[in-house]
Amino acid sequence: MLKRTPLLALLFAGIMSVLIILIFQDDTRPFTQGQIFMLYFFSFFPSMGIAMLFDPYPAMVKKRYLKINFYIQEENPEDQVAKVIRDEKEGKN
Amino acid sequence: MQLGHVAVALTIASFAPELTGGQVEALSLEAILVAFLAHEFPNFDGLLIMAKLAPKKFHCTWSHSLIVGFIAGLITWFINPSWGYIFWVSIFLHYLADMPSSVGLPIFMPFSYKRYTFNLWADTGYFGWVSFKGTYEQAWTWILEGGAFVVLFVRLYQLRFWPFS
Repeated sequence: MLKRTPLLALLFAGIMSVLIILIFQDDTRPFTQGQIFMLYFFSFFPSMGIAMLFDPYPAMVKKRYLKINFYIQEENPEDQVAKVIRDEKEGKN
Repeated sequence: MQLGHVAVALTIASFAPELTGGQVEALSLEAILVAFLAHEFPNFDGLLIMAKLAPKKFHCTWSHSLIVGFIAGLITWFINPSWGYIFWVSIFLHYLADMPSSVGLPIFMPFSYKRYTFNLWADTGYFGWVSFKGTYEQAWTWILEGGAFVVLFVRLYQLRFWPFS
């Protein structure tokens, strides 16, 4: 994961929080500082996902997991993932 | 979707009055229990697999077909019509929430076994640490599941529930 990804997420969370306040805030009962902090906290999670779209690591992980069938009865998921990672390191995939 | 199901179920419970014609209060214990049980109902197939009563490949098959959701909702409707409406919305939104996974859902079983998927994230199995870790190493799970919690937060604000009471 790139170091900039969580920083980007913090920025996106701020933008998302402001947009939500602008769209949903009822002028008769504005958000308190504590509520705004909670909104920023919850906004961080989808913002992290948006930031991850600009990071090659999550895309690589998705590609890795797409190679695995987790529904083979005799196989152990930990072993399956370890094998794919080992194959990647050996340049087999 | 994993943790996001909790937020989706609670959000459905927040719409209980609209779904039941005012028979069930928003976010009442009744609404939360029905929405949560119905929303998680399709994933109970994982319990059968863990109890070794079904093979691994049973996950996301019958339990995720529209006809099973409809019949389960119909049975609930006969017990209590208000619960039935919440059940149908909850279970069908579960299918929608699972569609972005690459595993795909055979929603037209038993008429068609074709699996439908939006393919936004790779499936990582049905249970365990590998499944959990793999799910949250991918971008779209954060976007959609995190987004579900933000939607729930806005609903709590609109309904003046804690922390907005």
